[in-house]
Amino acid sequence: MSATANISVTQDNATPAIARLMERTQPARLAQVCRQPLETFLRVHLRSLPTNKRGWPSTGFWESASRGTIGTANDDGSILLQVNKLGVRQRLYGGPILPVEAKALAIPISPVSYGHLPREFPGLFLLKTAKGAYLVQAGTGISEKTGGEVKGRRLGGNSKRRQTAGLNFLFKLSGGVNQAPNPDVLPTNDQFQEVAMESIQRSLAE
Amino acid sequence: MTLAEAILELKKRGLPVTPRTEQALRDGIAKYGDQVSQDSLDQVLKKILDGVKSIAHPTEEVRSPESIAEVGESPATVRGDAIRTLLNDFSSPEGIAQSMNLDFKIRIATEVVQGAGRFLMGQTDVDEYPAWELYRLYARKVPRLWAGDEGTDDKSLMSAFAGRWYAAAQAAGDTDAARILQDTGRMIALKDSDIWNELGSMFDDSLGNPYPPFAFNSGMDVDGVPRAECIELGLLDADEKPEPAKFNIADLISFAT
Repeated sequence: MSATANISVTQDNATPAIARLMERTQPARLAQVCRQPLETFLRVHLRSLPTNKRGWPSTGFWESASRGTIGTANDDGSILLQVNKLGVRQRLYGGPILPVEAKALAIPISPVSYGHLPREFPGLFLLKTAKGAYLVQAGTGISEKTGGEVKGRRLGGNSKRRQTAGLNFLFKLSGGVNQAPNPDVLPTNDQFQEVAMESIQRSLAE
Repeated sequence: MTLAEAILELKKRGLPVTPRTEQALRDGIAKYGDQVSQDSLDQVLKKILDGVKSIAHPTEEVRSPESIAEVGESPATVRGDAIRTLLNDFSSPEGIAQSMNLDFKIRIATEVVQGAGRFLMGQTDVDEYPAWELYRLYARKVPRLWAGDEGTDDKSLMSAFAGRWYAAAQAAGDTDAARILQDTGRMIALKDSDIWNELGSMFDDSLGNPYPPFAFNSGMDVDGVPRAECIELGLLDADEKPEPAKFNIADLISFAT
C-alpha cells in the first residue's frame, strides 16, 4: 500500500523571495556591495603604515598612496583596487634600485635632505672620504656683529650643529641599492576576503 | 671751511669716509661751492644718515608712475628691475617651482583629481550606499572645526554650531544632516544632498568641489553608508529609491586658483 501526498500551492511566496535573493547575489551586484568597503579598508591600511624608521619629518608617502587608491566594480563580479602612487610596488616587492640618468644614487642621510633632491641645495660639492662619497654643503652661521649669514662658523650645541656645522653631510652617493620586499604594504588576501564577506552578509540580511 | 676740512669734520663725527664716499661727498658739497658752511655740512650729513637709516629700516611706499619719474626713477627702470627679479627667480626649474609654489599646487591638483574619480565611482553604487559619512582619515596637527567638539552636551553643541558641517547643512537646507550630527555625532548625508556642494564652496579655503578634499591640506574624507543604515537613521524610507548627486561633468574639477 502506498501513500501519496498532494500539495497544492495556494500562495507562492517562495518564488519571489528566491528570485529576489538570486538577484541580490548576482556577481555584478555583489561587486557593487564590496567595492566601497574594500576601497576604504585598503586606504585606511595604507594610511596606517609606519613612516620612516629614523623618525625624520614624514614626506607623506603613505597618505599620498592612500589618496591615490580607488576601487572599481566590474560586471563579472571582480573588483579592481588600484593604488596610483609611484614607489608602492617597489616597496611591496623590493628589488634593485639603480641610477638611470645620473651616475649614482643620492641617498639622503640627514633630516634636512630627507625627501629632497640634491639640486634643491645650492652650493653642494662632492667630498670623498674613506667611508664613501658624499654631497656636502658648507655650513652657515649668523654673525653676531652684522646679523648676516657667514659660512663655516660653529655655534655649538647638538641641535644647531646639524644646520650650522662647518660641513653639512646631506647625501651619500651609491651605485645602487637592493631593497628588501615588505609584504605588509598590502593587507593579506584573508583580510580582504573577511571585509568582502562582512559586507555581503550585511547586504543579504537587509 | 674747505672741502678737506669738511671731510675731516665728518670723519670726526663718526662717518666712515671711504674714497668712494669722499667722491660722493665732493659731488654733493660741490653744489655749495668750494667753501662749506656748517649748516650746509649738517644738511649733507643728515641726508647721508637718512639714506643709511632707510636702508637699515626700510618702509613700504606705494608710488604712482608719475612720482617715480619725479624722483628720477623711470617706469622703464622699474620694469627693468622687475624683469631682472623674475629672471632670477625663473633661472632654474627649482627657482620656478619655488617662486610659483608649484609643488604645493601640483599636490593639491592631484588630490582633487583623485577625489573626483572616487566621486564618480560613488555615483555608481547609490542603491547600495545612498549616503556618505564625512570623517577624519588623515591626522593633522591643527584640524579645522568640522563638527566642533565630539560631545552632544549643550556646550559641545554650541561649539558644533560653529562647525563647518552645521554651517553647510544650514546653507543646504539639509535638516537630516544636522539632526544626525546632533543625535549621533556623525556627519552623514545623502549623496544627492547639497551639503556636499556647500562644504566645498562656502568657506574661504574651499577648493570648489563637492567631494574631498573640500579644502587644501584637509585630512577629511568620505565613506559610503549602507542602505540599511540610511533607513535606520531616517535618511530614507524603506521603499525609497536614492538618487545620485546632480553635477555637471564639465564643472566637476576646480582647484580654486
